[in-house]
Amino acid sequence: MKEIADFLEAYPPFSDLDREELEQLAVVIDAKYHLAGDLVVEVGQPSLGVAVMVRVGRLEVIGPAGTVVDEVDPGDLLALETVRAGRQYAHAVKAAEDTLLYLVPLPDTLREGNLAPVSTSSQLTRPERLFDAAQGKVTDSMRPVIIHPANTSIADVATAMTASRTSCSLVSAPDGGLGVITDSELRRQVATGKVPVTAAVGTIASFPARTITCDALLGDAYLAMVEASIHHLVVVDLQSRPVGVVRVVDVASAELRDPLVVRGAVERAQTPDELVEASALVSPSIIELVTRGLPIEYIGRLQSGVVGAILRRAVALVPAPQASREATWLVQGSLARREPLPGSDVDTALCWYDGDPGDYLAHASRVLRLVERTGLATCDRGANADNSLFNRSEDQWRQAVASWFDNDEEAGALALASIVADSRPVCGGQASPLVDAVSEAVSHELFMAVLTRHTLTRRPPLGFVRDFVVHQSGEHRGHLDLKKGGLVPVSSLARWLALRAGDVTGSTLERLDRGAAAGLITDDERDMLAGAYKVSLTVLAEHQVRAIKAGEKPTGFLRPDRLDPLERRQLREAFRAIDAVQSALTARTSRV
Amino acid sequence: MTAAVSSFMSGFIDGQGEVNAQLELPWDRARLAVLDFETTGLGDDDAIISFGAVHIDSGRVVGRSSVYGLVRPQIPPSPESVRVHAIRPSDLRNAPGLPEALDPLFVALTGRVLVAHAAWVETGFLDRVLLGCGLSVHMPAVDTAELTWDHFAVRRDPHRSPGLETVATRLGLPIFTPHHALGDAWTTALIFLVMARHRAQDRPLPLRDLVAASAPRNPRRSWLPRRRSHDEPA
Repeated sequence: MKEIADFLEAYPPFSDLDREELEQLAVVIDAKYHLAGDLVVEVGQPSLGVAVMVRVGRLEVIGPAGTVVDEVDPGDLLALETVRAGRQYAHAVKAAEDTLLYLVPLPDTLREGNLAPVSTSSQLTRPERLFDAAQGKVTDSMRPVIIHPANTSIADVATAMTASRTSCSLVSAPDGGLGVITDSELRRQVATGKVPVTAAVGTIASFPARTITCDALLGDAYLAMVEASIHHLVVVDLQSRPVGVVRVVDVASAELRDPLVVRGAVERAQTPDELVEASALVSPSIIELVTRGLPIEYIGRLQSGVVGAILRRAVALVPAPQASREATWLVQGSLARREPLPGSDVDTALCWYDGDPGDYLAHASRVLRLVERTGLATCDRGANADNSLFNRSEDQWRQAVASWFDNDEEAGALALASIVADSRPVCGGQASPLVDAVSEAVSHELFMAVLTRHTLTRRPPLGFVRDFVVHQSGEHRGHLDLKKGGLVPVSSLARWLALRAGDVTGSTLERLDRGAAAGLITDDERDMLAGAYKVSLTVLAEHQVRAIKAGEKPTGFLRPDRLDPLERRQLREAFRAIDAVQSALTARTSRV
Repeated sequence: MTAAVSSFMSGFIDGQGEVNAQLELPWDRARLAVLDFETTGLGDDDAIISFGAVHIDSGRVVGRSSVYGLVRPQIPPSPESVRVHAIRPSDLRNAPGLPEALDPLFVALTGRVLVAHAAWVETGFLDRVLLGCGLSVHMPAVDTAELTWDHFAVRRDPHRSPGLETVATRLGLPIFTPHHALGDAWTTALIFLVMARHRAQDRPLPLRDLVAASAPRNPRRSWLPRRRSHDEPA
């Protein structure tokens, strides 16, 4: 059975077998065929005892909420660990397409013992990684517990949960029993009017809370949650005292966090609740990618793709005002440039064509509240489509653009530059006033002069070259503003280059390439700026991921004393490079 | 008549045997055997030189059931046919002759409904072997070449049979070693799974229906085995 042996040989773990073993294996495999939609494996079904390998087609692993949590492509194995351990399947599996499966009896060499071919992450089949992650201790992924007495009001518990950015609280009953209340349950009960917010939380909490001991593995916790169809488990110490909470999103594997899988689930969401549920894995998926060390520009593209999908879906799920033409939703800033950081806000704008302004503000507000429910943050500086400055008719946008062009105020020029250059429609077609402004910009000398001045004077912090300059007071005392110091100077410069070149599409790095191609900067300057930008982005992304994991708000600020020596040196060189290029450009433009 | 042939024949007793019982079952619960022969050609004097077969049980091709063997023909394969199946006369020199050579095949076919691509070739050669033993039986068979017309909803072309590899390719299936009897049996088995599953959709599809869809529109049945035992001198 040469065909089978050849196919097996191309994929781990079989790629590690020698030809003779492969040929012995090839004559004992079975083949099965499923139509798209067929149920291949039921939840809780005992292990088939053979490795299930997709030969043609695709399988979908269905999570407890009915959403797709994994895809198994040709060459991938389905839940190999389940077979090895003789466990029950934790998920239902359906054929996503017409699918031919090979059922492969595992030879002893792959059953246990030398598992080298499947233990290196680069070679893992996806379901395999799921259980690789599951070998961690439950205490590694738990979050702190917050316990409220059962007579605390629902409103107070909700406030505390929001403040601490947790999605569940424990509730202690007078008899010592422990219950749990989740964010979603709380919202559901209050929203349906079943209970007033003044009621005691004990009336709606679930008693007793399901627990798992602190010596359990993540895989155990995950299975327990899947089986009970719950999203939280209370971790207790050996004396049954609560020490933490694990959430399904914390223990679900890297594979559940594949951004493409998440995006697929987002696009299939039929209700706001489904969208919220599908989006729960966005943040873990981005964290996973940063942790795995993927190039930062790649992660940004994936993240902006998923966030764009969430926004599009949210717009589709909220009834829009009656109009002859669908309004255009735009994302702005780093999201528009497809280079957001893990903690980036979602900045939006709306361009509509006919109808009532009030309706569009109300619509945008409902859409953005849904976006917030999915776990994404809208802009805390007000660059949101439910702000009338960013919610305009096509004519109003055209007027605004015209007035900004004619105004020599720096603030107006900057607003225009960023709205025009850093905006990207995610649904409803192009916003023509903004598109037209790009081609017009270079002919507005006043505007370009203001923009040039601004771009070249935004330097990395003074004194940086000798040491890191940190904020001396206020909330960020002792912190370095890496966003302002390292990212903004380069992204502003790239935007200025893009406007001068008359093409604002793409990321900062792509714009730098375009500026070099147009002869506006030298190739050396392009390389210096791109290198500096990537270093700043990477350091900041990793910093934000650490903050998110610790349950803190991700910011652009970091503590220089927490940087490792390599990061410190790289950043210092990055800031020097930016400063040098800005100086050279200032000299060149002042001569012009 | 060997014990294997005798056992094979018991599957057809008075229309009440095991084979007939399979016809009443849904296709994905029935016991099937997918067969392919490589032959010296399709003429009256041509003979089987290799066979390959694999079982389908409960809608699943069972790899372990695969059988393959060579058969020494009375007349060596022509150079033209060697180019097709790559089996040289020297490969066959030490192979067993008929009917013993087919014993493993008859064991594999016992109690099962036959599946083949252009099944008239396989049933025709089998009929001829059985006639050589003084036996005759009507073997119901599923013909994946005949099912192809329905599957792709094209008008049947009485002058040609859709090629095995062409069909597999159109269905997006892997092709096993072509013109190797076991390779072709596997390719046929996968084609059968696809066509039966699509034809059944969500209802139980009795195997009899697949046999009916294969058999009655087969005018090439006019190719009949010679009424001559291979023990007789030519």
